[in-house]
Amino acid sequence: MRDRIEIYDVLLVVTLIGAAWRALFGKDAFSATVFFIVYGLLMAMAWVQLDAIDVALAEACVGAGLTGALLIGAVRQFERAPGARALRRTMGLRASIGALSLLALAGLTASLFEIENRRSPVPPLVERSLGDSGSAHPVTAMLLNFRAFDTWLEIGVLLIASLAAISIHRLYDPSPIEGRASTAPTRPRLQIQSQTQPWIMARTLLPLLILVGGAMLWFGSHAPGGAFQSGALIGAAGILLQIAGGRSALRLSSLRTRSLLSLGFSSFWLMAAGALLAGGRILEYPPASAGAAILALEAAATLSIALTLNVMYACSRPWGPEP
Amino acid sequence: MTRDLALTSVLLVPFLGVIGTLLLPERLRRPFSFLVTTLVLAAVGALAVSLRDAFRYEISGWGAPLGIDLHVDGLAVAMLLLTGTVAGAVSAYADGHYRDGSSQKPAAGFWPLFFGLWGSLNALFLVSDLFTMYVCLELMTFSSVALITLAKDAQALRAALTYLMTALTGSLAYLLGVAILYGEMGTLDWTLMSPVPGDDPVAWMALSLMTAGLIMKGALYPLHFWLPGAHAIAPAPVSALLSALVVKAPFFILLRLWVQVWTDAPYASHVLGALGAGAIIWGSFQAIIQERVKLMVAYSTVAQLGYLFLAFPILETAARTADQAARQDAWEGVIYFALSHGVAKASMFLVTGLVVQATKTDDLRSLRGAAAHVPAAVLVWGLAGISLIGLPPSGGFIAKWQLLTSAIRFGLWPYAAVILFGGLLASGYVFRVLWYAFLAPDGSSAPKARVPAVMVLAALFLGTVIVLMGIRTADVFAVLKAGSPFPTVGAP
Amino acid sequence: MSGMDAVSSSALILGGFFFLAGTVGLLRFRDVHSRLHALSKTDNLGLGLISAGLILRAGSFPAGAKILIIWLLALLASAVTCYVIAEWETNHERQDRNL
Repeated sequence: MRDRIEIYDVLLVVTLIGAAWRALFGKDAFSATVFFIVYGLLMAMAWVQLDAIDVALAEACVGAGLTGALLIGAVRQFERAPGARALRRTMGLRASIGALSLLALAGLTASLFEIENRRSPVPPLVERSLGDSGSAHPVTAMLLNFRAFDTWLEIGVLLIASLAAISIHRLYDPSPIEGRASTAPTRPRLQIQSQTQPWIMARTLLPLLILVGGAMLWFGSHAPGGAFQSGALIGAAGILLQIAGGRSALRLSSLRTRSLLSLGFSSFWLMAAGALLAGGRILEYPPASAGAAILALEAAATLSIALTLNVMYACSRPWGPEP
Repeated sequence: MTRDLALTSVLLVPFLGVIGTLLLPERLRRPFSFLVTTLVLAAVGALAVSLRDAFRYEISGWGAPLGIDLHVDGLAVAMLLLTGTVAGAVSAYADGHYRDGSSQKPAAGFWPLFFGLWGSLNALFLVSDLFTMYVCLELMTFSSVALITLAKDAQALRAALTYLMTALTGSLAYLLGVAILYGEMGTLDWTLMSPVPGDDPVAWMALSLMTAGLIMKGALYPLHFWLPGAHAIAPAPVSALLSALVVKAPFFILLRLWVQVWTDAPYASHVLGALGAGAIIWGSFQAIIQERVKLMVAYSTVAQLGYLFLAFPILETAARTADQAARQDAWEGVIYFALSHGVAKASMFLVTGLVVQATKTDDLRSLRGAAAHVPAAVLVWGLAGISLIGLPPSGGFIAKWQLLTSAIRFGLWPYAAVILFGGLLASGYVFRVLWYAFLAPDGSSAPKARVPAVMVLAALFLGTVIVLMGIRTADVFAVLKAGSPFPTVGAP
Repeated sequence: MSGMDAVSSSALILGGFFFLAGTVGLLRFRDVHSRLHALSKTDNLGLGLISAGLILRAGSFPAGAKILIIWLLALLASAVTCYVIAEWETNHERQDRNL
């Protein structure tokens, strides 16, 4: 933890606030989205400064990358929608919201300076138990062993979110006003326009992304990395393929899609039930096989996360796949 | 041994339901959902019957503050009972609702979300860790939002989006509060942090943030703007779950925080009490003037949540008295109110769904002659209304009685007056519907559709529970004694 | 090692100067094609110089190799996006002219 504030930190904070300002008060939705992506990347660098590398990786992949892609898709649909107009709020309401936010900010800053001196009993406990946890990296040990229940529920949130995306996509058809009658029934599923630039980039990056994603999964046991980061990378590979192909190869309601989506959640469930049957507590790993258990769970979670990101992107496109 | 088995089943089986209903083919889905529902209900029952004292369970084998613990006490089990009762009735109702031919596709989407909601609620009521509660809140929010959109209506999408944005803002405030609290107290487990000293400004900052976030999610006036739209437009089984259970979860967390963690908050609790009083009066007036029954019931939820927030000043004052029985009475009254409101509100929404099923609209005027066409529905509405107004024999009567006597006993006259007045206002909207229902049917009304029997049975079941709660209160109160913050036998 | 430090520092500063020049071009040029021209050339060269400076300072061979790969990937991404933007802009202009 760095204990001096350097010029780099000041510059970073200033650009962060600047990017956030432009994202909120940009001149149109598209420029706001671009500045949001910039904000995400700067935020990732801020996380690096705070020594939270895992969070920085996740922020760069998901916060800047995937969210940016989804927002740009949304902005394009927004621009097509007739009669879309910005929401006008009264000056009085804005002023009072602004005043309240400033008050909250002042209170938060004051309390942040106050709590610098406290000591928590958790870090020494983590140090002591790291050996039995099956991972040499404290963040992975925390996420997948000590507080594995949290991670399980978070993967559940991802599952429910992907189900929600699919359900809304099926029930509320967002295809453009021309309708989907123009799609001929014999059109191939994945239509790659082979000379286009996106395909060239996808062709080069696809194997690299999968390789680095796999490496990230392996590194998670002793360095920053793990399921979310590698899942985000592999998910990005799929999204590149979708961008290059113009159509998605996913069949959203097939059993294969659904089983892969729920693979992470189910693996945690099986581990929890298995631990119970073996006579322990929920999600309790015997210290000898804890490492293997963590790797298995992370691998399953990676696949689920990658597919979830792909499903979200596929559902956000108006010319999406047939249900 | 069986106690641990019951506890783990309560946690794990709903999530098995999520996976199973997602992956199983159509014809196996119904028996599977039925099996899962029955198993969870049995587990909750076993837990309630075997509860003697509060106990803890370490998930993953590592205890708090390193790992996550479950803290099982009377309050937790009572909320589990409420969740089980309402979810069980709603699952039977939804089975009938979705088998009725027209809506096959949403059926596939309903069940995983339903079990996800149930599982997240069970987990929320059991865990002892503030951050895990946040994750459960998120899971609950996403399931609810997705369930609302099953209404297949553009309005539903808009209402669901408003709900999502509001809920996420609330979650963010709550998370910020938890982070600050962790920095200050060094642990995330609320049993390890209590009691928090009353003169710690950082802790107060954290509590304010958490309370603000939870009030937003719990639709306390004046931050209730998202609720009527969302609850009115959702399908009837979903509205029942939302009004009965989803808005109780933030209240549960607030109850834990204000009564069991911050034990020293004399003036701040009156702010919550004042907002609660405002909610009762404003919400009830809004409910009386509505022309659509679903909106009326939604505003009634806003009003009834106000009663729950009156709990904070009452319990705060209760904690200072030496009379142990009075303190426990106040505690029981508050929780019993949450329980009886949950059951009553769920039954009201199921009744509304029955009426909509029969007459295709929920307009008040089209209720003419409903007593002749769907008598069971009107009966259950009457029972629910009795509970909301606070007349015997119903759970609502017991709860209101205890709240009222506690308020009077501790000298909180304004709150007692609001409680009485609120009952009068509630009778306004309850009797409005009954008025229309008992009018003679006019010949011009369209032919009524048939209502599946299982839906009617589900509503009648909840009506029976309302009456049972007015008669067999001692059983629930025995459960509530375990781990109560106001122990009545030789407290250490 | 002060010679290496001097070379590396000058590479870094020169790279920064190229980035600055590119950003000036982005802000001052009038149409999309000129802006793309300014950005893609100067940014790639700037990044190359900065990478060279960092490679000289890198402690080990794998670290240096990683920085080189990062530069190559950035080149790829920059080239592809430059072409995509230019193509879209050209088609857009053609449509405007045809109207």
